[in-house]
Amino acid sequence: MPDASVSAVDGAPTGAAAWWRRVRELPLLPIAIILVVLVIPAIFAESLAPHNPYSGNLRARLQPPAFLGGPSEFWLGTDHQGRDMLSRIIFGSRIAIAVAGAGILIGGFIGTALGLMAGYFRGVTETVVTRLVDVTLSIPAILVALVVAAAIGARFSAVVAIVALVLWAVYARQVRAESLKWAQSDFVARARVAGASHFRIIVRHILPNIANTLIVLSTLQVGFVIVFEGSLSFLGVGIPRPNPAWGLMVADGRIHVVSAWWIAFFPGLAIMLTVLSFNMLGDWLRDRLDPKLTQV
Amino acid sequence: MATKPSLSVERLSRHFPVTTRRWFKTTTAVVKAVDGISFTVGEGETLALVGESGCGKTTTARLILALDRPTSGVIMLGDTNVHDVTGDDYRRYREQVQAVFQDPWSSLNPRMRVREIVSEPLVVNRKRSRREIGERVAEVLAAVGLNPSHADRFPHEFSGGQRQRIALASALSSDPKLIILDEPVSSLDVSIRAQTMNLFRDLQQQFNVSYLLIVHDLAVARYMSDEVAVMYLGKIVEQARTEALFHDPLHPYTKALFAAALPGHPDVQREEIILEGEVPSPIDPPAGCPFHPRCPLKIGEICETVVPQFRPEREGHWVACHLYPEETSAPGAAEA
Amino acid sequence: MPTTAAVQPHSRDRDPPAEVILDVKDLRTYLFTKRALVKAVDGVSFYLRRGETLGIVGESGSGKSITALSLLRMEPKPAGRIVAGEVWFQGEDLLRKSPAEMRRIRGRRISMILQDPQTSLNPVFTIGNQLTEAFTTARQGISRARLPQVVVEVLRKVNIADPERRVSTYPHQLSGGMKQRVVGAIAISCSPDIVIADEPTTSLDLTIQAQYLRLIRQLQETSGVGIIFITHDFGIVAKMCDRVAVMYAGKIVEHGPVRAIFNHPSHPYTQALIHSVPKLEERTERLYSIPGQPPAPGEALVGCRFAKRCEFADDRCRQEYPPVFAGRSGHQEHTADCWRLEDPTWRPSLR
Ligand SMILES: Nc1ncnc2c1ncn2[C@@H]1O[C@H](COP(=O)(O)OP(=O)(O)OP(=O)(O)O)[C@@H](O)[C@H]1O
Ligand SMILES: Nc1ncnc2c1ncn2[C@@H]1O[C@H](COP(=O)(O)OP(=O)(O)OP(=O)(O)O)[C@@H](O)[C@H]1O
Ligand SMILES: [Mg+2]
Ligand SMILES: [Mg+2]
Repeated sequence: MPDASVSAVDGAPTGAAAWWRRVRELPLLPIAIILVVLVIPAIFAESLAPHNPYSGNLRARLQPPAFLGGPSEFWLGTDHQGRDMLSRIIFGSRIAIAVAGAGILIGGFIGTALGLMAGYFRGVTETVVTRLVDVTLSIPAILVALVVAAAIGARFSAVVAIVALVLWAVYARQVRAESLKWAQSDFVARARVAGASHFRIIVRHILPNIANTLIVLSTLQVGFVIVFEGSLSFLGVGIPRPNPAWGLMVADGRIHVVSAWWIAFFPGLAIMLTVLSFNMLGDWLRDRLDPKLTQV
Repeated sequence: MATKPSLSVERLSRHFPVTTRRWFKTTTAVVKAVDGISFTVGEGETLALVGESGCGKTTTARLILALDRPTSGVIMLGDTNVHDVTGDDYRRYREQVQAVFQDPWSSLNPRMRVREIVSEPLVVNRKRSRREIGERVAEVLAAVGLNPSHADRFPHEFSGGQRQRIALASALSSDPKLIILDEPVSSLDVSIRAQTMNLFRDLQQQFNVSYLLIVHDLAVARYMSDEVAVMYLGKIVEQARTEALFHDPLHPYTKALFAAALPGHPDVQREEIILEGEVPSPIDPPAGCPFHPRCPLKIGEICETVVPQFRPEREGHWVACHLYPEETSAPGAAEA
Repeated sequence: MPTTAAVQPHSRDRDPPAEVILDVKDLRTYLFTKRALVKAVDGVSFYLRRGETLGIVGESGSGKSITALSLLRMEPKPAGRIVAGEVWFQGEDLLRKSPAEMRRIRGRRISMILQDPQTSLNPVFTIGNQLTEAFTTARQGISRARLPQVVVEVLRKVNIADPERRVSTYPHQLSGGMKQRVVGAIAISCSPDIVIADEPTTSLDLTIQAQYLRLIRQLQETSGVGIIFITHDFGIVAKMCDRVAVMYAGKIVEHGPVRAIFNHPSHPYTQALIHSVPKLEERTERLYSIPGQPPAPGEALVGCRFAKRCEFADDRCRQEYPPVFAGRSGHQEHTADCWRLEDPTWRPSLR
């Protein structure tokens, strides 16, 4: 949908030239980082990783990275159990994607659905949803995490549940505000006059108009989720060991920070690069997809 | 009225409760946005509802479109009571009454293609085949002067005037009996306005549809309508066939509106009736005749205390004003 | 320009003509936007006499507002730039003045009333505050002690009832018509020589508009201020203006005394516009409808801007912009830019 609006306004050039121009306008650096740090490793983890990420060689514990004089087989060194850091980081990308993807999908779905209903139906629905949002946002996320972890234990599903529980309110709040605006637009009135059902109006008329907002919001949330998962691991309520979650690796590297700084550093770098890239991408998308800006 | 009515509205009212909070005191007042109005729209005719901002025109339109429920009163489309239909009748009603709104930029969904916009009234109401829908879309697009190839475009690729055409095509697609036009040309450029008004008139003939035209520009009302109703503060103060009303307006408010209208030529000299003050708030409308605080022809206490009856002063020319007391009209015309 | 017998006497024509106080020559303001070069004002010339009302009429996007803003050097930044022209006011070219000198002229010698009263008033200050502010910046030499009284007087001048009480109200407590009056009061607070009014009544109701237009007339009669009235409505021109300039796509296509233009519209665009507006006074059988749409901003324009929509256009019209010809009324101030006027007997008559 977005390219339609862009191309129509741009007008003239077509074919290869236009294509090339559009590619050049993309935020290439963040996209490249996301591909290199996150997407490609996640897809090809088995073939890219030089070692098994789960089992180490205890004799090769705490080896420094190859470029600092460590054994040449461990490019980024090894951790306290002798596992190859590079392999763990590569496999960690899968966990990052899984947690962020599942958390954002579930939280985003619930939040969007509630936000749409609140903004469209108003009345009691709106009051209830906004109160719930206020309450959710006023409870510290870490507290939620501790309670959930205590209830169902530190598991992958628990982490996703925690993320969703924190995120839905962010979505609900933003989506309510947007759908409130669209629900009062003349085209929604015309759809009602034409006889469209509430469901059709919400799904066919309002939702497509907030799709851009959702895309931007979700992009910006990826960074949050990855950092948040890291803090959960730090508190010991995140992804359980021995899974190579980046946050967990940083947490585990903490006690070796003086003697073997690379254990915490490289996963931390992966987190930082990913978060930064997603935030840059989100900002770019926001500028690009904002209908107010595209109309000028 | 000249032809048999397509829409008839009787003693229609819509009162909005409004609460204002000041510190800890909450006060509830009532806005009488529409207050007991009655009118009919003849088949294939245009009734223009004219009046200044806030007099209740849009509220009336929303009631007829069943976007809002009246506080009291009845709206009949043919033999169906609009606010009591369910099931199939409801769907039929939704096909028969359509609308074109003022702002061509906000009245088309920017994420839908023209085809989907135009066919919406067809798709949502009755099962029709794809082909049937496709043919109808092409037909109405052609009728409003757009190309069939436009069906696959998005609204932002069109200008304001073209967008109003798309909105009209959509309204016409389900073959309605009545289309409500809420200020359909006031946001268009002067040179586009004439095209659009001519198109609306031509299509009325072609599709035999009635229009309820909401408009504040009297010249537009004269050009487009067969009958005019003048609204003030939620009430209709005068109604007549267009030519009769423009030749001989009776109500002082109508006269003042005519005097205030801009001339078509610098040599046009009009009687200067400049109303003082502003339209009073509908929250607390004046007692008696709602127009009396601004009326240059006020005759006395009766204006401040007694609500004038809306009654026919002449054949087909109704007015609510104490200047035209019942005695002067035909005997027997009086009613409670 | 051929000068023939003057047209019928005009009640608003002043004789002898008052001095010219503003003379704009070949003004060009271009907008250098990302997508395109928009020649919003493309060689516009006009003048204003003391105490006179000049109407600039045109459709949306024809460049009326940019023209007005350019006179005060307030073209939209960063895209807008005045690339050529002269604006003579009191013997000086405003386009050559420093920003500091311009600030002294704006709001004192030349002031402006904008379309939207909502945004012209600051919502967090009272009406009284904003007027006092206007008087102080205008440096009228009014003593502080007398200011409140002067403020009340000017509010009374713009027909605001109960001005003593109104000075302490905030803009949101006033109706649209009253706000527009306050904006008007601010504009005249410094007794300027020229007021530029950019569609000041489009957001007002009919009866409120009538009140406001009458007010402008009264103020003009007592103060002798020159008014540039920007509008898209020929009705306002007919009611308010002495002379009128018709704009289309950044150019003034016809210019002349208001009666000359209404009685003898000489440019096909003017003629078409006058015939495409329904009349209140008589039943119109069918309106003339101008085909097509105005050019989009940034569209490359050669030749006559209106040629694409004009019934009378030929190849030359499409290739070469016409020179200025005398208008068909014969009035010496009536001119139009149309090739057809080369033939002195030709008159635009629409099908
Ligand atoms: N939902 C609402 N709640 C409270 N008051 C309302 C509501 N809708 C309309 N009103 C009030 O009812 C009155 C009539 O409004 P309406 O929109 O029908 O006017 P209108 O004649 O269409 O005016 P305009 O020409 O400005 O569109 C106004 O005073 C308005 O403030
Ligand atoms: N800030 C801006 N940036 C870019 N383009 C602009 C800007 N302001 C105006 N334009 C363009 O300049 C042209 C002239 O605009 P202008 O505002 O002068 O028109 P106008 O005659 O005042 O129209 P209206 O009747 O709608 O006020 C238009 O094509 C408009 O799109
Ligand atoms: Mg309205
Ligand atoms: Mg403008």
